[in-house]
Amino acid sequence: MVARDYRLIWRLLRRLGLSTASADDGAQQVFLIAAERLDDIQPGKERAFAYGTALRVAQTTRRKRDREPPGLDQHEPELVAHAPDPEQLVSQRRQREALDGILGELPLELRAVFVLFELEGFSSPEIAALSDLPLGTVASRLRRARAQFRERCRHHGETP
Amino acid sequence: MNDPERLLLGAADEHERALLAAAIHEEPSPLALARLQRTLGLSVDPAPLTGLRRPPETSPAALPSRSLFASKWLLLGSAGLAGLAVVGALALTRAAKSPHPPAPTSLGALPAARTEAVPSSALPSTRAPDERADDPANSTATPPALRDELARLELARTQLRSQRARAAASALDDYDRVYPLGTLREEALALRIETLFALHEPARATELARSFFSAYPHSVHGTRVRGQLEQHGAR
Repeated sequence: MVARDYRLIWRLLRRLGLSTASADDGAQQVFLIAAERLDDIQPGKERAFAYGTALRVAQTTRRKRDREPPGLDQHEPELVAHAPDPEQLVSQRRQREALDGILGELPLELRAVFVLFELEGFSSPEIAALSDLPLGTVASRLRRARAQFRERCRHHGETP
Repeated sequence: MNDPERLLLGAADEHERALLAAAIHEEPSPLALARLQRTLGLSVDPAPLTGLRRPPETSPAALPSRSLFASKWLLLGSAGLAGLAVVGALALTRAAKSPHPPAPTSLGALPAARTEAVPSSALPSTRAPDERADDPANSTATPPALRDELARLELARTQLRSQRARAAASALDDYDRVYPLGTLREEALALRIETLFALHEPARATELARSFFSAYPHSVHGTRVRGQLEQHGAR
């Protein structure tokens, strides 16, 4: 389960507004909770459990962060060893920050569906199974999320 | 109920695409995963942390030699997956069967994540192998190949935008080798045409454009390809 879902959970936490360090911590938290409750998790529902836990961890972490003054957690270290070159690194970082700013304006339930569909390549039925939602609800959330994302992108593009 | 076309696959404008693509490239640190594995009481071999992920379509013989630059980029997109795949294989006690080769570069310079390990005494010492991970019914166990295809093409696009046409061509060569029948072949061809023009090879670009329109007469990338042809005075 860890091997299969760690990357998904980490990337989800990042797009739900956690810093890289917080996403590391959050992902660890998700899988530690899953390990402790493994006997309670229905076979085949491991990923759904991790997903639901990740949403709660993201909410808790963000609430905690909002209560605290800006600190080191706000600073994003870069993986220098992976950097293609400094310009690209800076450009990608800015774009990620802009993306996260836009996603941060979306309600959590829309954001999660958007991230799973647009960035993680999940289909609507897969998202419905993962989030235990009716397919129609997923489709509706995705439609609203995309509309809001594009609207905010337009504003962002107009406001340098 | 059909899913809408994903924004990154053509439904987005350039600005939206750039924002989304930036997130596609972001991967977790393999070291953070290794730390979690250790915390859960699973042994972690450091060597796999440097391994490149091999997409399922690739045979060992097909793994191309890459320039250092392309290797770094592939490493960026793949290192986290490699850690997941190989460490996962260890967790499933199938390391001996793992097809992942050692990587050409080291991740030794990666900064350590700040995660504090939970005392292992508070956790189960080992996990039983999760047989369901190999169940064909759980085909989503492997990260979608589509994401890998996307990342490779986004890499080529980024290189092209950064006026590094040779690097873009190299990225597209890699894509072609790994995904000869890829889902995003149409997009790859459109990118190849742009790249050839950027490499001042209009004859090859024009020839490929003809093949492109023959294969994909109603392509959503058609406008872009036509724009390239017009821009370079080709017909």
